[in-house]
Amino acid sequence: MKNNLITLVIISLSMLTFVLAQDPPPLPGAPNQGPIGGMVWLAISGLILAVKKYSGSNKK
Amino acid sequence: MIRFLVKAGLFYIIWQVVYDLIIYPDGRLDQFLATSVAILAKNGLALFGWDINAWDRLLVIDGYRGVVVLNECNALTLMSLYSGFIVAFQGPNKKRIIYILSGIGIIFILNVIRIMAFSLATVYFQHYWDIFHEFSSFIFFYPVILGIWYQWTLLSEESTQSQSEFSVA
Repeated sequence: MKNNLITLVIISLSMLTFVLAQDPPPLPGAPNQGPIGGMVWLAISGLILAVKKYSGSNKK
Repeated sequence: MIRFLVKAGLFYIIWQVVYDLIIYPDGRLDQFLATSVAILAKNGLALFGWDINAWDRLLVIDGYRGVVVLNECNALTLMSLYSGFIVAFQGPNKKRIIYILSGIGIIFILNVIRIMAFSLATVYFQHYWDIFHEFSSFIFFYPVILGIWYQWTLLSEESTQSQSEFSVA
């Protein structure tokens, strides 16, 4: 009976080490972020549009 | 032309000062735009049957990576850039107000659609999310804004032409 108990404790401890040795479950990754990029290109396009229109109206 | 540049420059300087000193420290406008975009994008996707949740600025389709709407993503800067052109370029004042308000509304709606597309991108092509994000503004915003700006310049030409016709008559 005593031997059985010792065996049970040893098996339980060894099983427990297996469980504790596992990696923790992965945490969810950081969320994606969506800042608006390339606004400089829009500003440059607007400037070109304005220059074109103003120079066009001056020619007339 | 110089008048346009001066007006545009002044507009953006005033906007930057107002944003840095009042709007950003207050935070409510940024927060409102970000959360409303997140909630509307969530409702839009839920309408199409997606199992999606929104917490404040965060949007998550169940089982996939989330999308967070930061201050830089709420299109406020883009709205000011858009408005600056309309303010600075000559044109009739009544229509100027209509163009500014409707343009801001269109940018807001486009941003909702953009954030919806970002959430769907986490499902279908998360690996290419960064590339999609990089080019998203060029797909969703810039063609529309440039189109409206162009329309505004045409309207401005028409109004100046009709003014000169009246002055001749």
